Amino acid sequence: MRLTTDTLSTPLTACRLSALVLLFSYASLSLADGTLTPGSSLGENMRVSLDLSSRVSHFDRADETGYTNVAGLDLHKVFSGSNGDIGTLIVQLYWTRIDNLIMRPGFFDGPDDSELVYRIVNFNYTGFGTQAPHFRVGHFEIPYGLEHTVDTNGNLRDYTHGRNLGVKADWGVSVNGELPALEYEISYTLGGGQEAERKDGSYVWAGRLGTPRDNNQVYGVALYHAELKNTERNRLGLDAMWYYDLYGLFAQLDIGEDADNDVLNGIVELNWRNPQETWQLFLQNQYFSTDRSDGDQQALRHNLGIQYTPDSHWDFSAQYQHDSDVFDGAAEARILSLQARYRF
Amino acid sequence: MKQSGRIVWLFILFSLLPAQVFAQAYCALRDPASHIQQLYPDSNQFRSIVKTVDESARDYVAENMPPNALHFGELGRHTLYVALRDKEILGLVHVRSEESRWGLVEIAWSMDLGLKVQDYSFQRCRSRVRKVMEANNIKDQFRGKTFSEMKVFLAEDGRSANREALNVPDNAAELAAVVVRNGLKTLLVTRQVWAMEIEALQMLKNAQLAFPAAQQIQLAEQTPTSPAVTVALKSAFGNASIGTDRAQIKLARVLDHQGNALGVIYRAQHTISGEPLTLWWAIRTDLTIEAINADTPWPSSQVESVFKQLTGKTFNNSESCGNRAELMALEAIITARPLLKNTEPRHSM
Repeated sequence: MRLTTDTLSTPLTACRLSALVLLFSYASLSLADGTLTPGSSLGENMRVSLDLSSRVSHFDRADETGYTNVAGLDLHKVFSGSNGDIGTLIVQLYWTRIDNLIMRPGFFDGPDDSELVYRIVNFNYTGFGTQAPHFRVGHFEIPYGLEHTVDTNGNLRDYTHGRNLGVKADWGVSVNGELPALEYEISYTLGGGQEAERKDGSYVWAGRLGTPRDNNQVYGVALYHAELKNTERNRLGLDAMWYYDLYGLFAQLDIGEDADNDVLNGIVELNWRNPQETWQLFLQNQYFSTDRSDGDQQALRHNLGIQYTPDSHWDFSAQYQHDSDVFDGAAEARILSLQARYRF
Repeated sequence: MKQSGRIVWLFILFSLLPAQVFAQAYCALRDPASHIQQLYPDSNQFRSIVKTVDESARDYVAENMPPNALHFGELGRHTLYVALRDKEILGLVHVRSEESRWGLVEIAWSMDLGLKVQDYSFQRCRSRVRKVMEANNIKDQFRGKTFSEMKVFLAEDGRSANREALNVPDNAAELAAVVVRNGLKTLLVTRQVWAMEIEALQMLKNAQLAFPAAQQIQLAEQTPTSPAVTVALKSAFGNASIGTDRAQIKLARVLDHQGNALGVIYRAQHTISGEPLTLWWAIRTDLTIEAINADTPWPSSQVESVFKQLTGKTFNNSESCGNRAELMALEAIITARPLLKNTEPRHSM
């Protein structure tokens, strides 16, 4: 299922993508034909955006600068029947070009590469009713911890799915739902990340049960069990979000093991937004520890970020990442990243 | 760095295109399912109707409740939810956000199809007095209100709460103003953006009341002023008015699940006992009256009785009519008749 992008890494492809977007956009304007009949138009209940972003990352220790340029299609379509909504399709396909990116996701073949990246591509069947379980199939974020409730899609701000769990988003199925007092999602995925296949018997079980994410106090508990790269990972995760006026305090604690090594990880984040929510600041501390055979290892990472969203098109953000402690043999990262993003 | 250059050109090119988008990635969108459930406890499903809230909606809000306007996050593609119990339409839910000193406050409002507030629920509110505004004695003051009735809650400055009209504790006055502004905007935006869909839903709801097998409706393109209908009405009534505002008439054909016509819904504003009254007439394919329902309480039980006696009857000409209600029925039948021509059963493939 993985698409490498020799045929896509041209401006022509970007133009094709944009033409597709415009086609869907105009289709969505011609909905009303006077018939209240569900599903009468392809564009009915659809949102489509073209999402462009350009990111510059300066790796201070290596004195290298890397670039990430992204052009993506972000599509959201609700299918309805006469008895109500049937389900929601989300398609986020992002052509991603990296240049000299010395620290990068594993699905890139090298520091200079192009890939068609699946961010979120799934269909969530909701036709059994509001309070009944929903069934998702496709590529989605692993339901675990803070990442499950905070939108980090395409942003510099991120949590620890990759390092903590070994995978951030994966292909598979899930059961999910939302009740007045709690929300839940339990998933089984293949462990291939971008690729819809099991590798060396890989698989991922994950599930999170939490209070509604829009509350002023949000609590979640998550379980994770996976076989990735011939290593078994198990986690119990506890997450919490407390909001006080314009401030948010987030925390996550992960207890478990990688193979036979005990693991204790954690996140603490303090964030602030202005009343209009056009500005956001955050300070994030990430703690990682494991008791490897060569001794206890600890790492501490700090992220200081700012995001400015002046309107519904533009999004500017900056982040400074600093490792104050790393595992033996690992290089400390000090990375300044700047990103401009435009959606239309 | 050629790729970077291409991206820059794409930025410039597409920045020039006017469009309304959502600032966040769409995977962040979530339906307010638990709030719909809370607002309509009997509902078991909902249906989304997504439309674009654009500059015209912003102008509409600015015109009707200055100095308020929609901020950029309120523009773009938004959803009106139709709460359902099986296929029965229970009401509407729309979520709007409002700026406040605690950040954006998001409120889910439930409304009936006449756009009267039924209830509200905070989807997100970081204020510590949120619970005060969730109390029933506060909510009761909003319930049943139309836009003009709720606008009384807004003070002359257009921003703060009118404490003489809205009874809230001192510590909740600022959040109350946010709720009032948000509610008024919700009613305005819903009315302006989803007008046609709400009209269709009203038709469908009345169709479901009159014809249990109703599955869908088709709004009529034909209007009462079409030449054929105009000639027929003139032939029946001459130039006399029987108290029906013909400019306000709406028609819809009612179909079952196979697409067979069951009848017509005819909505008209009449003047009865000197007062305007909107009536929903259900007319069967054989041109008999199936049902007549009023939007608001009938002027009197006597008037209601006169109209209810029309059920099961049909009228061919004014000579067969014995009172004004029967003349109104005749007018409805003449107007609806073209929609019921060519109604041979159409079976689905």
